[in-house]
Amino acid sequence: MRRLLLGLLLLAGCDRAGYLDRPLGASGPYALEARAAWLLAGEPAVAFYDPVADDLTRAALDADPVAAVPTADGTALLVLDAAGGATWIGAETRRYDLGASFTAVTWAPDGHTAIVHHAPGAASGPLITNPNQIAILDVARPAGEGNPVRRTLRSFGAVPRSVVIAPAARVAGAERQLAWVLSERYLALLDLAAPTAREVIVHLTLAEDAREVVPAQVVAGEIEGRAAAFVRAQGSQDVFALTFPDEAAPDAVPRPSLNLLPAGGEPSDLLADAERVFTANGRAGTVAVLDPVTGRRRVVDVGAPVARILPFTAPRADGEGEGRFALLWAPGGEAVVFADLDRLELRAGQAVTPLRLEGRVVEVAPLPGRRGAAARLENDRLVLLDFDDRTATPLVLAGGASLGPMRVDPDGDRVYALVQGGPDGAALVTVGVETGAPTSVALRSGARDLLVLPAARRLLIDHGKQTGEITVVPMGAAGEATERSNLLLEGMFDR
Amino acid sequence: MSRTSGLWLALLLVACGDDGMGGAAEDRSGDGAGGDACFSNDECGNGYVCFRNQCVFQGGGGGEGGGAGGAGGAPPEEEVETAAFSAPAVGRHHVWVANPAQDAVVRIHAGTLAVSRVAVGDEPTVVQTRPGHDRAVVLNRGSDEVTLVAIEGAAEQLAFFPLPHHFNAMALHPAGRFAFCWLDLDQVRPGEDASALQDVAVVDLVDGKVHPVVVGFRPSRVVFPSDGGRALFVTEDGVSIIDLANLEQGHIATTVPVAVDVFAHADREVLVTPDGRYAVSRGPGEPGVTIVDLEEGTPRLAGLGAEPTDIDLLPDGGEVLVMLRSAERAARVPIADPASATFTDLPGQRLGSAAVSPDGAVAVLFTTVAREGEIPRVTLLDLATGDHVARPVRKVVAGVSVDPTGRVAYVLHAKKEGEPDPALGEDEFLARSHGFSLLDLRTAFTRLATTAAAPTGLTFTADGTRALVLLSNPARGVAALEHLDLTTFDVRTYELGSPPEFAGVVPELGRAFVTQAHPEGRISFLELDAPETARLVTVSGYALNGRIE
Repeated sequence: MRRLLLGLLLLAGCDRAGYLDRPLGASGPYALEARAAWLLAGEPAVAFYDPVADDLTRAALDADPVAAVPTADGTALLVLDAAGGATWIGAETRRYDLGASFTAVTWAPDGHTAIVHHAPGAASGPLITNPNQIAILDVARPAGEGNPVRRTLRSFGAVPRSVVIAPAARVAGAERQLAWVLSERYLALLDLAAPTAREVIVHLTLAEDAREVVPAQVVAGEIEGRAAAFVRAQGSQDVFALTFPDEAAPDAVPRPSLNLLPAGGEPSDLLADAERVFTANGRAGTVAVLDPVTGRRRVVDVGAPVARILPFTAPRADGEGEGRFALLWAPGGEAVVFADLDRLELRAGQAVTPLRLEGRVVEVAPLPGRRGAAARLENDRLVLLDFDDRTATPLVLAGGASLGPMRVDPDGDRVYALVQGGPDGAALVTVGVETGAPTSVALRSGARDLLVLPAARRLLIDHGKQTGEITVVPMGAAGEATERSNLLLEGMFDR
Repeated sequence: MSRTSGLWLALLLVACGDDGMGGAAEDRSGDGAGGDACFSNDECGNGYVCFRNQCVFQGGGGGEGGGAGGAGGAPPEEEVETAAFSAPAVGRHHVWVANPAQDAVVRIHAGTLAVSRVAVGDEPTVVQTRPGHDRAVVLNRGSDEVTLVAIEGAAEQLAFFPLPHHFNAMALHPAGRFAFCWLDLDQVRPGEDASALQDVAVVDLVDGKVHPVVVGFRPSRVVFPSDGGRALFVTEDGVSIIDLANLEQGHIATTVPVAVDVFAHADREVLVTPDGRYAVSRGPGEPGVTIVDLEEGTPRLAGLGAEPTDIDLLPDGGEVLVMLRSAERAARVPIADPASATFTDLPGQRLGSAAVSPDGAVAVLFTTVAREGEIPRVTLLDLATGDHVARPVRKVVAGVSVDPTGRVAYVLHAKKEGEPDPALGEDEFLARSHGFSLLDLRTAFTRLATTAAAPTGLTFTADGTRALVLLSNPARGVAALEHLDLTTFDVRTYELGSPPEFAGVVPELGRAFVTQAHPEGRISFLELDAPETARLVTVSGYALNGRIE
């Protein structure tokens, strides 16, 4: 007995990792190109799972993670932490001191520059924040002087809602990367190529105008060969066209000129090409074609609410080469509209073809490499849309089943969706785009989310358990699914 | 006579005979159709008269149509002024627009459409420029000061001049050195300070001095004589003369009465000759015009036997054309020698208004009074010869303006109450339509254009080849700019995004502009050189450009 008590005393005095006494605090998973990642707030760490090697690895963090955003190419993850830092985990791991605990990241199209900022209405974070603080970060360079650039934007009483970063381009006589921080009633314009330059504020209303005009979308374009940006705002029936001067100091943010283009309704989406700006005007059921040079507009009734513009190019039926077209749709709308953008201004109603669907649209996902899309309807139907034939092929679930998240194969060959409440309970549905033939495979328990890991050619189904319960399905081989339980606990006790 | 000689003689006779029978090359008689050149009526055909070297058809009773003239009790002529009064000002390359709400003026480059905002004083309401110069003078109604804005490179230089009183009207001397501010009682808003009923401030923009001057009651406008040394204010007490070489602090301008009866200065039409030597006026019930030598100061009535219904100065300022509607005649009155006035009888034509071409060659006579059963008409009076021809027009005339070169008259028409409905018949349909006519003053050819709204804001280009007219009816969604080619009489309509307000021309860049009602400002530009391919380029929200910081 005495030896037993002595052994217990010895065991009680051994070192024990602190994280073992804290909840796991898992959030995610986040889809990367070849891996899935979870944030483990309890450790703190990031867990990466390689579905091909069936291997889980961990990367330790210096502080509790707050948010994570994959890079645009999906090869790395940027994790924001509560200590005001950001950890980039890719081929190597780098930490940056941001100076504040941010909750959102917007990546530039170059894939390595980002603006780190506060997400509006974030539930977690410090007691008090300055929402106009940002950090400009280049993860291709190590932390150091000028990386990140911490700054606070001039504010006029509003909180930034979102950030948009345009592709790098030659603007005002220099190579620039313009970024827009959108707040109610104004935008702040930055040049990431001159990150410390004073921002230019573009007010969208006069001082005495009490309207709530909230910029919602910025689209880069050009007007008569000059760089331009087009801004859509909630609360305004105009598109704000911002053109830049021919020359401006490279180390200063160029000051744009503003012109209002009347859209004929409150636009919900915006598309700009070299000559025209198109707006989808939501419940008005119209599309406007705007000439940004003359300000002239043509409003076309398309016969259905349209709030989204999905552009595509296709051979013209009349043999006149390739033309610009678009699929127009609206969440909650019962129709989609095919529009010939090249002919819309001249032919108006003759250039649009509505297609009624038996149900209200929830989402539309374009099929990569194809002129088509998959649509999910409120009545739990999947619809395959063929842009060339202008057809809609519905796929109907058995009674009682409900459609969950929908994903598209990176090659555009298949559409995947989670189904709940069917005869098999939870299931993964796969639809071949070419044949329209659906198949399904039962899942062992309720599925919360469906991730596509393109480089791994795998689907990962998250069953929503804190300890990590997943099903891994090879693309195109749903019958070879493998399940993992307590994935996130692996290796915890080995350290 | 030998055979050969005889043959030659015969040939000669034939040749002479041909000439003797009236060589076709010189034959100006015959049909004498409209538009044929002529030197006398004999050269025109039956029913045609030679008017300004053109044969113009007048028919059997073209010059004397209509019913018997009546006098007394006829409504007054109410001529609609169709000349543009552009609130924006045109500089060399820029259009300047006052933006009272933002306490700024906005200048828009007519070529590049670049917009610049310049903060001035409180509530700028009047902006004026000197044509061909990019310098603006602004009256700030809220802060009672004048701002001079000069463009220096890419920036603006500002100078502020406080005013001694509250004013709401301003004019800029043609030479650009002086600005004149006064109170226009017709523009006063309720509650606004309207005490400066006899005050003018002369702002010397060069030395910065502001000279208060007391003038006659209610100055309505200012005239600048060609010598450039004076400013003449038309007031209800007469013409007040400000000598710019002798501006003194607080002086009273010499005011010359323009009516014989000192109690008859209200409701007068007053004209001042270009040299500023004379003032000519007419008043209610006076059977002539009153002429006053502004240097001598005694107004004298030149009796014409009837009450004038309109007076117009001829361009050289030496004569005034007076319409005597009730007497069915027009009078040309030499201002320096009114006793030698000459009359042109217009029997059967009760015409009470006139518009004189800028070259003084022709006057367009008309009446704005609609008479049941009478065909509306205009009469063209050759001011050199006194010849006149009458032309019917399709609708009652509301006003006439002549282009700067004197080739074309713009005839604004009145509209009868009611909706134009073709089912009511042509005459009623036309009577109920808005519209205007273009009248070639040489051939008397007329082109009627009906419009969707009342045409306003007429603007001619300086070369007289084009004109602009605005159409606005917000209730019916009508907002348009009409481009009139005065050479071809082609009318093109450009739809606007919102109701038009003012139009003008930027001569240096060959562009027309039209400002439109828009909370953030809207202006459109049109290239004038190639209307068939011209685009209407619009800048909207230009006031917002002042809020890019």
